[in-house]
Amino acid sequence: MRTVFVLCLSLLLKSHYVRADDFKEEIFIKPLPPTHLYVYFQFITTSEESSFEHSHLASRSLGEVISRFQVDELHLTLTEGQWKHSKWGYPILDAAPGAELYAWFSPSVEDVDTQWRKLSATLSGLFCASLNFIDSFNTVVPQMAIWPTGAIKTNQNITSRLRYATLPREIVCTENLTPWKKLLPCESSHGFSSLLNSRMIHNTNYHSIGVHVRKMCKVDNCSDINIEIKQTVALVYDYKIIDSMDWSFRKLFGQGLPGACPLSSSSKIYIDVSSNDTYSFKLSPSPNNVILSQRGGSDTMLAVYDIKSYNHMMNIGVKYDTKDKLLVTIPPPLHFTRYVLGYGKEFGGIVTEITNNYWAPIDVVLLENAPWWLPIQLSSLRINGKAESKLVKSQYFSPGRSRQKPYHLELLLQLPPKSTTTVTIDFEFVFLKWQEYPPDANHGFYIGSALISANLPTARNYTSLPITGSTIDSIINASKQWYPAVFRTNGAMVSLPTPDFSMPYNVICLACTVVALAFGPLHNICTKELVLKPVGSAISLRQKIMNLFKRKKD
Amino acid sequence: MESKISYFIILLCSLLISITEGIDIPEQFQKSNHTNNWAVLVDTSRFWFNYRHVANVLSIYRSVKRLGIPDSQIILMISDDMACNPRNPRPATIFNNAHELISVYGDDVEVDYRGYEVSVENFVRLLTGRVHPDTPRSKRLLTDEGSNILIYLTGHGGDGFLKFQDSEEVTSQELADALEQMWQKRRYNEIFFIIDTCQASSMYEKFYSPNILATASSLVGEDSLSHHVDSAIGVYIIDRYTYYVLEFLENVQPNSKKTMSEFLAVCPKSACLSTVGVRKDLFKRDPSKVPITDFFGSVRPVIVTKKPIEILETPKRKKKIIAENKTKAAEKRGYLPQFPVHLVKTS
Amino acid sequence: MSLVYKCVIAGLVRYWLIHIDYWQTIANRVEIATPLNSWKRLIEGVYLYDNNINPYEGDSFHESPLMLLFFHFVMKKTPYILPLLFTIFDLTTGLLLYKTSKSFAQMFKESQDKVKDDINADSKSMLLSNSKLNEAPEYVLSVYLFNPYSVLNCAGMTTTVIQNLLVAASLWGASSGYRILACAFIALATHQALYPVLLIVPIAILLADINKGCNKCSYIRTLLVFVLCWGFLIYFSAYIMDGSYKYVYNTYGFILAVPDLKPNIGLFWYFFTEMFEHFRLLFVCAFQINALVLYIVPLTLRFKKEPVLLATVLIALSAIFRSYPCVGDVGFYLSLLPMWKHLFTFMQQKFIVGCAFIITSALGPTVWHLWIYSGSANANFFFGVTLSFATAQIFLVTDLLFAYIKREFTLKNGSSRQIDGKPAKLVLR
Repeated sequence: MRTVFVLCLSLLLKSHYVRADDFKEEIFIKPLPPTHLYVYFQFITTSEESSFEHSHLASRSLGEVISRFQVDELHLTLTEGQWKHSKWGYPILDAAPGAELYAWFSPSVEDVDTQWRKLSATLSGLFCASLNFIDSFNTVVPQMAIWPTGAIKTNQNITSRLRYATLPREIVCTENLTPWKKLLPCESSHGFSSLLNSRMIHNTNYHSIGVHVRKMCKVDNCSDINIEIKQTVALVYDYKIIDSMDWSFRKLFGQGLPGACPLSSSSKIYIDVSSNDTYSFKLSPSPNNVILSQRGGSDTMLAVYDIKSYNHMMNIGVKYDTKDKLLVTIPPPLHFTRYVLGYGKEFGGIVTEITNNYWAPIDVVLLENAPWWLPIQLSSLRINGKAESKLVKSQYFSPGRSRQKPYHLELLLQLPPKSTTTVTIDFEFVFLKWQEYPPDANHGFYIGSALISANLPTARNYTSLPITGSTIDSIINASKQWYPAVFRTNGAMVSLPTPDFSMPYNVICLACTVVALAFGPLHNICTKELVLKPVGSAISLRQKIMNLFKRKKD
Repeated sequence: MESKISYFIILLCSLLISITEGIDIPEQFQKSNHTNNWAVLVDTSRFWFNYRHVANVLSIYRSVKRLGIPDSQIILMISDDMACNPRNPRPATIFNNAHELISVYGDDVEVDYRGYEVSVENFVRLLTGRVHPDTPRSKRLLTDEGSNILIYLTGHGGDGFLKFQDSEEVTSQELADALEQMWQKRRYNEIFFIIDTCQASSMYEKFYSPNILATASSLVGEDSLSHHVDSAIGVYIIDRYTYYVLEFLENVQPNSKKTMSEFLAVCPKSACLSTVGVRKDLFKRDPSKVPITDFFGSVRPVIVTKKPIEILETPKRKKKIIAENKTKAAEKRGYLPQFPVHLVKTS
Repeated sequence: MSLVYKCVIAGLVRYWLIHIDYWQTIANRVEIATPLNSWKRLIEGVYLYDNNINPYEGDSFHESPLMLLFFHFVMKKTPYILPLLFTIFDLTTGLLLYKTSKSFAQMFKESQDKVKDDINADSKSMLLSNSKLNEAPEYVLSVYLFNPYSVLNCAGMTTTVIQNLLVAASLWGASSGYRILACAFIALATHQALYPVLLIVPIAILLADINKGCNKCSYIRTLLVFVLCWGFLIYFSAYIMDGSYKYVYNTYGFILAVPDLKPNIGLFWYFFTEMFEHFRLLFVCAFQINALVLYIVPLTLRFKKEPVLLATVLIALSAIFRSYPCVGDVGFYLSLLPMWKHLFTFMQQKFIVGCAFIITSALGPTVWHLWIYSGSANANFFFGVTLSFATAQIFLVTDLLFAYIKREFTLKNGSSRQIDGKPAKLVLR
C-alpha cells in the first residue's frame, strides 16, 4: 500500500516538475589493498536557480542559507582522521581533518567578511558544529590554490569573494551526521542514506561528511544554470576492524541495502574492480555490467549496480579467493608529508615535503595557513635549504596580525621529476593572555593542514570527477590534458608555553608593589626635605613609622 | 455570520474531543497555563574521566525527547566529545549502564553547544537571551511567558559554584540573577531546575525569582556519587542520582499521570547515598498535583472556549511590484581551470 | 692612549661575539631581543619590504620606516658591513658618552666654584678636585664598553644599539650646546622608541644653562625645534610608506598597547598575561603613565639645577618601566652612573643592589631554560627573577637620588649629625 502511494507520489511529482528538480544517489567503492576499503557516497540534488527555493527535493534550510547569504559556491566538510595519500592514492574529494569551510559569495555582496561570519554562524546551527568559531583571525583568502568548481561569470574577480577557514580541532560525531541526513530528500529512511548508521561509520579509520553547493551549466553554452547540492560521505574501513578482507554491506553498515530512494532518478553503485587482476575476488550478487574506463593512461574496471531495478533487500559483498597475498602498491605521482621542527617552546619550524614520483615536472600550489599564534617569518623560508629557489614560480604572502589575521603563504612550485622538495619555514611561539588559552591548554594547539593544489599530468590513482561532471559515470574515459586536484596534508600540533593559570591576583599585586616601590621613595624625595631631628625627643606614631622607614636609608 | 462561527467552534470541539478521546486528561492539567516546553541540558565537564556527566545529560535528553519535546526546543550543551572520543571502544555510543542496555546517545542527536562553546558566558547569555545577533536559531532559547523550562545541570561543583570545563565557574548568585533576569524579561512561565553535582543544593539556595521548582542530587556538605564503573571504558559510567532518574523516566509515557512529587522522591538516600534536596517555596503549585509532563513532555493544555471569537479581517497586503529585469541579457558563465595555469605558462 | 686601547679591545670583543657560533643564541635571548628591537624581526621587515609587502600590514615588524629604509639600503648594498656597523655604532655611543661626561665634569666644576662660599666649612673637603672630576669620564667609557649588558646588546645586533647611539648623541649635543643637533637626535630616538621623549626636559634645561640668556626663550626654542623635528620625522616616515600612517599603529601603538606578551626583563609581560580583560585598558594606561609622565614633573621641579642627574634618572626609570625593556637599556644607564661617583659614599644599598644584579642575571637564563626547554619550572619562576631585577634597579635609582640630597644637605650643613651637641637623625619632612 505504502509503496504504491510513494510510487504514485513520485509519478505525480515527476509529471509536474519535468526536469526541474533531480536527485541522484551513488556509491563508489574502491578497495585500497592490502588493508583498507574506500566507500564514497554522493547524493546529488539539482534544481533550477530560479525555482531553487521552491524545490521539492533540495533542502529548504540549506537553500535559504544559500540565497540569504548570496553564496555562489559552498564547500563544507567535517572530517575525522587523515587520508593517507601515499598509501591510499587519491580520494574523489579530499578534506582537511576537522571542519573545513570555503565559499565564494556573489558579486553583489558588499561586505564579504561580515557575510562570511554570518554564514559560518548559521551553518554552525545547521550542522551542530562549532563553525561559529570561524572569524577573521582564522580565515584566509586563497589566491592560487582554490578555484571555483562551478560555472561562474568569468569576467569578475573571483578571488576577492572567496573565504577559506579550517577548524582542525573540530570533532565529528553523530550530532553532525543527524542534521546532514535531514537535508536529503529521503532523509535516512530510504535509499542509500539508510546505510549511514552512525555506529558503523564512526568505527572507521577515516570518515568525512560534506556538503558542496555549486552552480552548473544547464546547457552547453552556459546561459542557464542549475544549482547542484552534492552531499558526500567518504569512509575508509580498516579490514582489521571488520575482521576480514571479505566485506559486505552487512559488515560495513550493519544492514543490507533496502533499495533505492523513491525520489531519486538514478541510484547506482560503482565498485572499482581493477585490483581483481592481482587480487582476485568475487562480487555477489553479480553486477549489472562492468565498464572499462581508460583515463589518462590508466585503466579502471568499474562494476555497476543499478539499484532502481531491484526492489528487495540487497547485500552486496566481496569474497576474496586467496588471502594473505602481498601486494606492492604503486605510490601516486605526488605525495607529501608535513611536520613541526624544534624543541622547547620558543622557536620552531614547519616542514612540508612534497615528493614527485612522476617522470615529468608537476606544478603545485602550496598554501600554508599558520594561525596568528604561530607567526611564521617569510625571511626564513627555505626551499630545499635555499633561500632563493628556481622552483618558485610565484609567491604570495599575507602577514598575520595578532588576534586578527592568520599568516598565509602561497607558493607556486614546479616540482622537478623524481624528487622530493622540502619547504621549511620558521615560526616563533606566541605567549597568549591567560584567558585566551582553552580549558585544556596543555593538550596542545592544532595547526591546520596545508593545501596542495596540483595540476597532475597523469590520472594514475586519480578518482576525482571532471569539473563538468557530477555523477561517477562522468569519470569513464574522461581523458584530459591535466588532472587538477586539491589535497590536504596532515595537520600538526604544537604546545604553546603556558602561564600559571591560578595566580592572576598574585601577579597583579606583586607587579603593582614593585611599581609602588619606585613611586614611594620618589614621592618622598620630591616633596620632602631633609632635616635633622633630635633622637631622644618624643615622637608621634606616624613619625615613628616614618623614622623606621627612614632609618634604612640613613 | 455568527452561525458560521459557532458551527466552526462546534467542529473544532468535536475534533478536539475526538483527538483526546483515548487519553484521559487529569484535572490538574487545566491548572497549568504554559503553552510550550523547553529544556536546557548542560554538561559542564571536559575530559574523558568525566564520561559520566555526559551520560547524565544525555539520559535526560533522551527522556525529554522521547516524551515529546522537539529537538528545536532542547538546548543541549556538552563540553567534550565522549561518543567519538578515541578512547571510546564503542564509537558513537554512550551508555547509561555497563550492561549497555540503553544507548543514551542514540542515532538522532543534535548537540547545540559543544566543546569550547560551553562556557559560563554562553550559558548565561543563552538563558537571558542576550546572544550575538548572528546566533543561529538552534542556539537560542526562544522562550516566552508561556514557556515551561526544564534546566538540568551536571558537572563538578562545590558550595555555591559549578565548574565549567575545569577552568571557570558559575556561582549560585550569578545563576539566581540570570533566572531573575529571565523572569523580568518574561522568558518563562515555570522552571524546573535539576542539578546533579556535589553540594548541589547550594546552587539553588540563592534563587529569588518566582515559579521555580528546584531539586538537587545532594545537600550542602554532601558529595554526589557515581553509580558504577564500566571496565570496558575504564571510568564511572553514570552518576547515581541521574541513573535513578532515568530509570524512573523510562517508565513515564507522554500520557502518564505521574506527578512531580513522585519525581522529587525518585532517589531515596539508600539508593543515592546522598540526600536529594528540594526547594518548593518559590513554586506556587503543589508538586503532588503537577503532572510530570508539564516539564518533561510537550503535552499542552487545551482550553475549550465557548464564546465566539472575533476574527478581524486582515488588511490585504499590497502586492509588491517586482521590477524584474527581464531584459537582462543572459550572462556568460563558464568553468575555470582548477589551477593557476596562466602563472605557469608565463614563466 | 688608553682610550684607544679600550675602544679597540671593546670593538674586537663585540666583533668576535657577532661572529661566533653562538651568535644566534645571543640574538634570540629574551633578555636581549624583544619584539621591538630584535634583529630577526628587523630582517623580516626588510625582507617583506624587498618583496613589496607592506611590513606594517602584519605583526612582525615594529621599527620605524626610517630604520626600514636605512637597513634596506645597507642590506642591499653592503650586507657584509653590518657586524662592523653595529660595533662602530656602539663604540661611537661610548665615545659620545665620554664626551658628554667630560663636558659635564666641566660644568660641575663651574657650578661648584660658584657655590663654594655657601658651603659649610665642615664639608669643604667634600668638594671634588680636578683629578677626581677627570676620572669620571674614563669610568663612563669603561663601563659602557665593558659592561656585559652593553656588550651582549651589541653582539645581539638589536636596534637598541642605534637607540643608545641616538640618545648619547643628543646628550652630547645638549652638553655641548648644539641645540638643533640635540633636538634632532632626541627626535630620532623618540621616533624609534617613544620613551626617549622624556629626555627633552633635561635637554631643554641643559641647553638653557649652557646658552646663557633668557631661560624661557631657550626652553621654548628647544621644544619648538624638537616638535618640528619629530613632526617632520613622522611625516617623512609616512612619505616613505607611500603616505600611509598605518605604521604608527605598529610602532607607537605597539609600544603603548603592549599586544605582544613575550617575556622580557620588564614588568609588563606577565602582568598583562594575567590581567583580567576588562581591566586591561585601565592598567595599560596606568603603567604607561607611570613610565612616561608620572615622574617627569616632580623630578624636574626638584632637580632642575641638575639636568644631567635628571636625565640619568629619567633614562633609568624609563628603562625599568618601559613596555619592552632589554639589557641594552640597562647597560646604557648603568654607564651614566660613574658621573655620580662622588655620591657613591652616600649610597646605602650598593651591596644589596650589586648582589641582586648578579644573582638575577645568572638566574634569569637558568629559569628560562627550565621553563621553556626542560619544562620543569613554570612562568612564575622567570617572573620572579624579572621582578627582583626590576626591584634592584629601582633601589639603585632611589638610592642615588637619596644620596644626592644627602650630599646636598651635608654640603650645606656640615657632616655632623648633631643639634646643640645632642645626637640627631636625618629625616625627611
